[in-house]
Amino acid sequence: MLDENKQNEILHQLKDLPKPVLKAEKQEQMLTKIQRAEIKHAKRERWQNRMTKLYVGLATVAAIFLFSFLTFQQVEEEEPGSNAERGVVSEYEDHPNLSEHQVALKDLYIEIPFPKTDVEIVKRTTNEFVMLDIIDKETEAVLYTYGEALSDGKERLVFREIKTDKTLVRLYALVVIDEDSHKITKVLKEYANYDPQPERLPVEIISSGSRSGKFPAEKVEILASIDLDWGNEIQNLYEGYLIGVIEK
Amino acid sequence: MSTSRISDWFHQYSNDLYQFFIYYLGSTDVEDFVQEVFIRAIKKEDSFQEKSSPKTWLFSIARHVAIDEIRRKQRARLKELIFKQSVESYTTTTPEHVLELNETHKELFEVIQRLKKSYRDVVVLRGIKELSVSETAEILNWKEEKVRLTFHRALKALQNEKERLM
Repeated sequence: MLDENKQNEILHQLKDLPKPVLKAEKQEQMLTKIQRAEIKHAKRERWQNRMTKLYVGLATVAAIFLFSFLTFQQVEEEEPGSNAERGVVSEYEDHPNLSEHQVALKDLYIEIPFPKTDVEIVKRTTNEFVMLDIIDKETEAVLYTYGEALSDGKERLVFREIKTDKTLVRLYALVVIDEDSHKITKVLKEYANYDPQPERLPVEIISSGSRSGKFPAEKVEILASIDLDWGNEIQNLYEGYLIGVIEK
Repeated sequence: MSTSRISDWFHQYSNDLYQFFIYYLGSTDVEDFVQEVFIRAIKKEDSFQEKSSPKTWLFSIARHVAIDEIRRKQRARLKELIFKQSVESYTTTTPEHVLELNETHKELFEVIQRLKKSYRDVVVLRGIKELSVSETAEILNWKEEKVRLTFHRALKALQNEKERLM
């Protein structure tokens, strides 16, 4: 334990140590430098504040522009009939010569599995195609989509759209028609397009045939058996559709 | 407004800080460090809370400036050892000579420089600058009890060191 007297003695010695002061001239110089530093600092702070405001302003303007652009894009996409791919929606007009299961495209008809009265038919026209959406009246789900190219002449391009959870398949058929006899004289080509394209197509068999077994044919069937290989999953597609020429 | 506040503080505390640096660093060439305290204070002024006094706030900045300087000197010494360069010295004349210290004070001045940092903190702040326990605790960010205990031990260490030199 430190002796009380010795402790007090050291305390006194510490207190008695000289307390030098800065020379007035030196103090003046230091104060001038400090004040200069303070002015410089204040200027820098003001500049930083201005820059921060500028950045915030620019960021806000950019955000507003981006938001407006995205909103505009979204509205544009959502607007019915404005999208070239989706097409202009118009009222479906049935042809009197068609049966209960037949729906009219342009010059061709499609035979659907349901009576027309049980479904809702939406007609869309794009720059290239006239298209029909066959919609379930109760669930409002699109059951089938068909399309026919707007071009005139003997050769007609027709397709059916098949939507899977991974891709949209368009099953095309290029046929030659005879408008006078209302028959399909020939099928020139059958093929499919995929959006997006699967990794591989191990099986892609697309065929067509006359329902009667001969050409010219009143009704032609297009059938496809396709395996869509997505790497970790293979989807099997077995779909088809039946077409004919409208008797006008 | 803030310009006059810093200037006021300079007039009030510059000599206190000057004395703190002399005894903390063991040098009389410390005017630049006093100036550095106020320049750092300008930069940190936004963080100054009115609930603490400017005096303790400036002393705590001063202590950091002093610690930075000690570290800088240590690095310079290390560099000298590695590259065999000569280290700058503070002054050509000794502080003892400049301060015109008598034998007792000279001895005490030397012993203070040999104390470990925490002891030197309390000896300079409590013993030489005669700050209160609460002020010292605020500057060092310690509890008051720790200040009392460390100061007591520091005085004992001073006494022992003095006796060893005699």
